[in-house]
Amino acid sequence: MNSINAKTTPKARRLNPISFSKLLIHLLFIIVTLCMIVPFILVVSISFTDETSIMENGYQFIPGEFSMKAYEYIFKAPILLLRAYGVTILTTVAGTLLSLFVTAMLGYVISRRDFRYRTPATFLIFFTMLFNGGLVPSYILITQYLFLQNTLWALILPALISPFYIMIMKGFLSKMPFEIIESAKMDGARELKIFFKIILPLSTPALATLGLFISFGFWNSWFPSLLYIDNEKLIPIQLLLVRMLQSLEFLTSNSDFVNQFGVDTSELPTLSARMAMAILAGGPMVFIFPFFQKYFVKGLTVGSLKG
Amino acid sequence: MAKLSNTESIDAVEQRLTLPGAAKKKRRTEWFYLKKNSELLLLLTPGALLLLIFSYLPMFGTVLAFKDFRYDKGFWGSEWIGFDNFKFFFVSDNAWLITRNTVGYGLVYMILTTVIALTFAILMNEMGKKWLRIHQTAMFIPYCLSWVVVSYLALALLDSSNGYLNKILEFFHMETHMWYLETKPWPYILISAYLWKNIGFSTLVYFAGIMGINQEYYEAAKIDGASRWQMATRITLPMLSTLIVVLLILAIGHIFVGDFGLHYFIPNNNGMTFPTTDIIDTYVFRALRVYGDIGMSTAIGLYQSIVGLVLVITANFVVRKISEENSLF
Amino acid sequence: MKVLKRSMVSVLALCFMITLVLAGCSGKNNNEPAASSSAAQSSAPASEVASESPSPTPEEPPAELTYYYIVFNMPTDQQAVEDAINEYIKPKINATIKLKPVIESGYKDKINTMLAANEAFDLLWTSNWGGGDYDNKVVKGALLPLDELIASTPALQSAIPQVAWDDTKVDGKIYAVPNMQIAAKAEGFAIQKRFVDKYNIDLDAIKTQADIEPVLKAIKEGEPDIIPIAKTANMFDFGRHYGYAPTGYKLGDPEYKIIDTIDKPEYRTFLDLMRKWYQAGYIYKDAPTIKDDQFNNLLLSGKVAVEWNTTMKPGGEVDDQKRFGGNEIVYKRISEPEFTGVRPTMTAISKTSKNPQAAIKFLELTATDPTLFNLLAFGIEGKHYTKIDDKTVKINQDGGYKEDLGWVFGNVLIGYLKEGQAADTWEVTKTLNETAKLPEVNGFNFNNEPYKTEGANVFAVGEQYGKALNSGAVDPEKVFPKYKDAVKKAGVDKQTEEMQKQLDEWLKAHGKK
Repeated sequence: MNSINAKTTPKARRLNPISFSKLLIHLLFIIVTLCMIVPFILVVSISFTDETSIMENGYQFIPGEFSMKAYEYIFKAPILLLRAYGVTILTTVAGTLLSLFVTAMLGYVISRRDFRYRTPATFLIFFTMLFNGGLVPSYILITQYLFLQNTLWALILPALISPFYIMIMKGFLSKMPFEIIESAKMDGARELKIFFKIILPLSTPALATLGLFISFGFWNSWFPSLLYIDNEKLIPIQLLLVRMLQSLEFLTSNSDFVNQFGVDTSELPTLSARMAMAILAGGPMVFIFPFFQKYFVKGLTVGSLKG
Repeated sequence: MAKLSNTESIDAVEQRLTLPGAAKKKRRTEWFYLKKNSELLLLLTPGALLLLIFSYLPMFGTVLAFKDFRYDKGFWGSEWIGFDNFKFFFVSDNAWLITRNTVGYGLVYMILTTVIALTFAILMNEMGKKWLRIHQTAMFIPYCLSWVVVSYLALALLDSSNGYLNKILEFFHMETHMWYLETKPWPYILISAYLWKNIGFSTLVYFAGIMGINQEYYEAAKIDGASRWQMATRITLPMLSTLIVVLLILAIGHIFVGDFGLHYFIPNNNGMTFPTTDIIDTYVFRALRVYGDIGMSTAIGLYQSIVGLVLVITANFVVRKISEENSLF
Repeated sequence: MKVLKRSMVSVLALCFMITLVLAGCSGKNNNEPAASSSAAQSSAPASEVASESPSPTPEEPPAELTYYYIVFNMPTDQQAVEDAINEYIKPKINATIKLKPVIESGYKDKINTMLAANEAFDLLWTSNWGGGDYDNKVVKGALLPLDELIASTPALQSAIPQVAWDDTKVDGKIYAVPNMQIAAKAEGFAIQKRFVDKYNIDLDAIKTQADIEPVLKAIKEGEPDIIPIAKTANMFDFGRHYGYAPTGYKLGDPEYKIIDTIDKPEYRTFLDLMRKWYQAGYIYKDAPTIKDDQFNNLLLSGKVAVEWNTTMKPGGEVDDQKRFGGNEIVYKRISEPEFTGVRPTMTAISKTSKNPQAAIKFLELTATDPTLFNLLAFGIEGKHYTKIDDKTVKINQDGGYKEDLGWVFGNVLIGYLKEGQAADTWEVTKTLNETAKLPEVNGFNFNNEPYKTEGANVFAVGEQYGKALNSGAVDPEKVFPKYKDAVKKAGVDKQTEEMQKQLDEWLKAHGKK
């Protein structure tokens, strides 16, 4: 990085694009990327390996014996699976949009230096990151006062506010040039208008990043649905997979017990199914990534807004 | 109407107290500010309501830390027992060791994550779009895997008979290890696993922060003939300072909590590794598994929160002294 | 700017639409119970008319019971079974039931949260393992004492043997109804037959755990690819085979003095033996770290010669053959069948129940009425299973109720047999349960509440050192003193003292001391 000479003009750099430092940077990231991807390839590969082959040869990058058994086991009831994906997609999209909206509003207000109640508001939001009343009071609130059990709201509403993301939003917004807000105010714009028309568009990279993480949280959550959802039609995919894994685990690890009932455990995929489920659970997020990425790989310029 | 009567009564009070002007002015000022900030307060309202309902209302549950909770007596009927629920942790011979581990790992994770993620984010900014997309996606993948799945990958690496690591050591005629029965390697294993899984997150946040910086600054710097290094240290880092401080303070708040999934699943709950892997959360989980005592677990949670709060307030105070605009609150 | 404005509008519109969809979903849900309950109300009079005479109190509306229990796989055709059950039990006990299966990994959290929130429900599955959490639920007042209710249901009382009732007692009171199944176990070695034949192993010579050593030695020397013995970390239940009662005193001690594991003189001998075996390569190298599912895979590979088996049920060799990868095995029992208790699966009534009377009547039926039990365990005939003969059924794997949960629900001994089970399975099980040796202090159980501060720490220390020591993977010379020191510091003496106090009180009350 140092080696890029201060005196080098932009023109010279363009003429010699593959400088030594660039090469070094590329090399570094190629190594990092390999470190990140290789274990994942192992996961994919195990999910396609025959269980007995894993047992005999250990984990292999190229399946010793190719098998789709794990996926067949999971896709035994495709309608259930599709419905569960549907529920997850619905809660994730709705939850992310609502959460992002609230997070941006709170983060923006507490990042405004001229907001009189900035310090207490920030502290009160931050406080909830460290202190919470625990599971039972929330359960009482949601089931006995708000009556949200067996609705998707029980999965969405309590998870909308994350102090962690609000603070990051504040971090993103705090370097927003204040003159923009000032000049908009001069033009007679009201705060709501400033927020929607100037702040939100200007913070697209921040919103895309937080949106990604928030959607990730909604996508992966299964415990609230275990607590609040008894209706089989509203079960998200993660809970469905957790359940499948449970039954597999139980059948294979308590074989003493299970054999009493004559269940044959020797044919069940365990490790391969676990890996297949990890792919089915996390995979869609990897595909969604580029959608969000689109918004934060290109920076914004304030000037471009006026166009 | 209401406003009018309000002012009237204030005037009346003032007259009685014979405090000419002072109180009146102050009172009006506060009202004036409320009005001035009303639109921002309006923006704050939906979030504040959610926060009140879903975060603050349930906080009454904290009383359980000081109660001998019984199902038949409920929240309010259960007996107060003072600090008895905290006892099991503090009388434990391990309290010091696991506290040291928790804080130590927390600090290392925090510092390494910040330094590496910042470096990555700044370097990524130097890269072409096509490559950038590939590397970013790759760094995001481990974040999608649960610790349980990662624990199986770790086993593939560290298994004493079939693990890759021992096979490599064997190949070079070096001494193989029973990794899960030793203490020394675990700090390195845990730190690597933590960075492997989480570095993508922080890199992405910092990268988005860089993307949010007004490009005009860089264009102006370029015209002035600034080098890339100068742009990174004079524009990027200062512009990111608030974000860095926010993430650091958030991490400090979590130092006393620790990453349960990492410390529980990766060492596979193996007793011999505990001296270097056990943290508060794993210890409490293990100790209370038989008891399932809500009071005792609430007590430890409260203890962690309070220490976290003290740490954060201290950190914030220090930041405030150095640069007020970067402090969290 | 215009583009941005438009995209902003569309995002808002999307938000709005999703809100509508969600509202629609939740609205439907809110309606659903209402609709079904109104349906139930409208159908109620009809069925009451039909069953007027057998119904005990026809003028009362039927009690609605809610029943939470553990499952490992969610049945897909639950509703059909529930409907059939309600049709069957309503005329009998004037009650209907709502079945609420919960997946194992979340069972404890969900049930404990509901109990703490004082939510009203009636029946719940409980146990001394996994999510059952029986002892804690009892001492923290979550369960209803059942003695009086049981007295009012004589059929239930007599359907379950007194030793089983005794085992459920905490401080002399019954808090759960046992789900009867096999409750007696013998321990011993399961050995692959090919090695028994090849090395002329004299099974009769194996009378204790230590006697297996020559066998392991022969296999280790003769079969380089075979693991002589494999089992997960806590391989042997140490105490029993060195003459200690499960409660912790030495059998035959007139003082019933409880000694903690660490203080038992034989424990060190045992650890040294395990260390010797481990170093000689008899014990699987990864024994202290292996996970359950990996262990199962290891067995399946057929590479394991001997396994320590703690079930040893009659005829179990046939089932276990599958687990050994199809290799024939023989059992060598080294202990008499002993009554191990009914706590592994029980059903309790929640303190929040509004209808304990109806709930106990339902439990009476699960223990005495084969029709109801078979409905719960196997579902509907023709749909979920087919009959092979009048005692045996074949479960339909695509029927949507293949989970085979008899052991969760009630008395498996009155239910159908499954294809492949011997015709006399239930008779043999019954005899075994009745003839099994009873522990001297049957009916005594510790209340761990008074020593929970020490208990939590002692348990944590045990987890830290116990596994590695018991599997022989670490040197007892170095680690045992550390273990002993840590256990003492965790307060084991105070725990033992309190346990002794409880045992003494019980012994005095029962005239044994």
